[in-house]
Amino acid sequence: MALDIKPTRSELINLKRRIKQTSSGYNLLKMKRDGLFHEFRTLLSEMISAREELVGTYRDALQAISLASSIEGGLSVKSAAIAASKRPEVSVSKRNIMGVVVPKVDGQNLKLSTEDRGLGLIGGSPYIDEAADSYSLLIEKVVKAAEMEATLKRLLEEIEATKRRVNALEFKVIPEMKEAQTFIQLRLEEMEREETFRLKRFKNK
Amino acid sequence: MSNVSYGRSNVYNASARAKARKASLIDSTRMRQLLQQGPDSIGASIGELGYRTEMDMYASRMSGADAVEAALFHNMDNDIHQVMSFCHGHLRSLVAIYVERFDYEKAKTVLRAINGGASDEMIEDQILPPENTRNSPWLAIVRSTEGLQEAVDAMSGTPWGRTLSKLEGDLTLEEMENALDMQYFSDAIKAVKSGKGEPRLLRYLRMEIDHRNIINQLRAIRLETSQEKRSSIVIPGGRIDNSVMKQACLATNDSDLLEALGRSSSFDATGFEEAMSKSSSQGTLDPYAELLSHQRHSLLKKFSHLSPISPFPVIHYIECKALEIRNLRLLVRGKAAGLPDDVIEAHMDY
Repeated sequence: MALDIKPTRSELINLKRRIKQTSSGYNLLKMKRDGLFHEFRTLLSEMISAREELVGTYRDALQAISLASSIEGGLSVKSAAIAASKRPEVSVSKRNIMGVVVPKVDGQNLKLSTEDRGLGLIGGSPYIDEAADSYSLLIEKVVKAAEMEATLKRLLEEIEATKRRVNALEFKVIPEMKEAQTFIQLRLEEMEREETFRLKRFKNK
Repeated sequence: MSNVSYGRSNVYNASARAKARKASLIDSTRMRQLLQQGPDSIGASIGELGYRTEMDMYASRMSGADAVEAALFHNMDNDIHQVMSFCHGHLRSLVAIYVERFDYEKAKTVLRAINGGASDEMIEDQILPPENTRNSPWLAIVRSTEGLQEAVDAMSGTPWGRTLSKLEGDLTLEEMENALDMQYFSDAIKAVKSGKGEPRLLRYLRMEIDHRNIINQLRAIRLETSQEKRSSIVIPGGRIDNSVMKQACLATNDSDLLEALGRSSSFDATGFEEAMSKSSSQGTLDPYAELLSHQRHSLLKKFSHLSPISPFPVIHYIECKALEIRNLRLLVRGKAAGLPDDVIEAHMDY
């Protein structure tokens, strides 16, 4: 380390104050990192179960739509699909987790009722009903999983950044400052010894 | 449909021709052989079984199961047209009762497309392909109309158009579809009753109405539809008494529904217990739908043999052709979607 610092008492006082501030910042960042990590782990376990549910629901929906297309015909399924005048929509807003801005996904018309689907009940097909229900459920789960995944991604990025900052403070900034403090202290002591020695020499003359 | 013709019928000739056509349909053995084939080769095999012309028409712009399905529908439209062309007089009117259901379905598709704001291109590409000239009038309605009322006006002169124009107020698509379905069955019953007396055809139609009502009530239970709405979707004219159907509308689960239906002597409860347990374990209405479908087909088959000189052989042929189309579609779509062979076979009806 190139110690480009003035070995003065005021600099030492400044440095001591900065070390104190940096250490408290370091502690805060460490707490933030741990907090984020705790949040991440909680969300991760929720995300894993949401993913598993999503895969299961997707499998069921695929089976239901395959059966509906096979029995009622792909044309009938498409014909039923175009009837709905309401379409699923999602809106993305922001929320804050420990200072991290994460997306909040809200869905509208994700689960359509029979009335919303617009199809007549009399000539309808149970296969198409079941496929539509399965896909409604799937869309809900996709939206939920998308929100959780995006949140996890943002949290992970923030944890990485915080970890880098903590490491930088712990292994670079604070040690360098302490080294500088030691250097100044040593230099000041040396200057004091030099001064004492010079005074003794003057006395002897 | 309600204007039943009393002109001279050619029942002998038409029945013989229908039976000859039925004999050339794909039999259960060949169908099972197709089931053993992979998804790649099944299309080619279907082509060799009489669907080559239509498949070639769609091969240039569609692929896979979509092309095969469009070809199957096209072939069926052609076939129905040919059958209708050799039926005359009163027979033609009676066969038309069965055949018109396909037109009602197309009318509903057009209304759905207009209500949902689907583009003309999407309808042409995926639902009513222009290669099938019988779709032209329907496509013309889709292209030339903007709202549901305009579509209803464009359908004037047809039985479904007349039904829709009778409706008053600002109607939703659901109400229109329900009205069309009600009208279809009402017209069909009226037409059969007003004819020379076709008790078996009447019985078949009434059974179909009962089955529709039963499956709709089962669906309504799952959809948690209000009792008022459930009563409104009961199609009148079935063999099960209205009072029993009213009781059935109050049922909150399958068991109560079957118990209520069991009070009618016309309700055939055979197989329902098994279907109910399968349905509750699988969480689907599939077992009921399959049971009712098998019951209808076996009755139609029985009537076709009991009344060899009647509209039944012709209607039975059309039903068998529709079944063949359904089975082939099931094979193609099922294989493409990766459904297990046993699931596909369980849903096939011969």
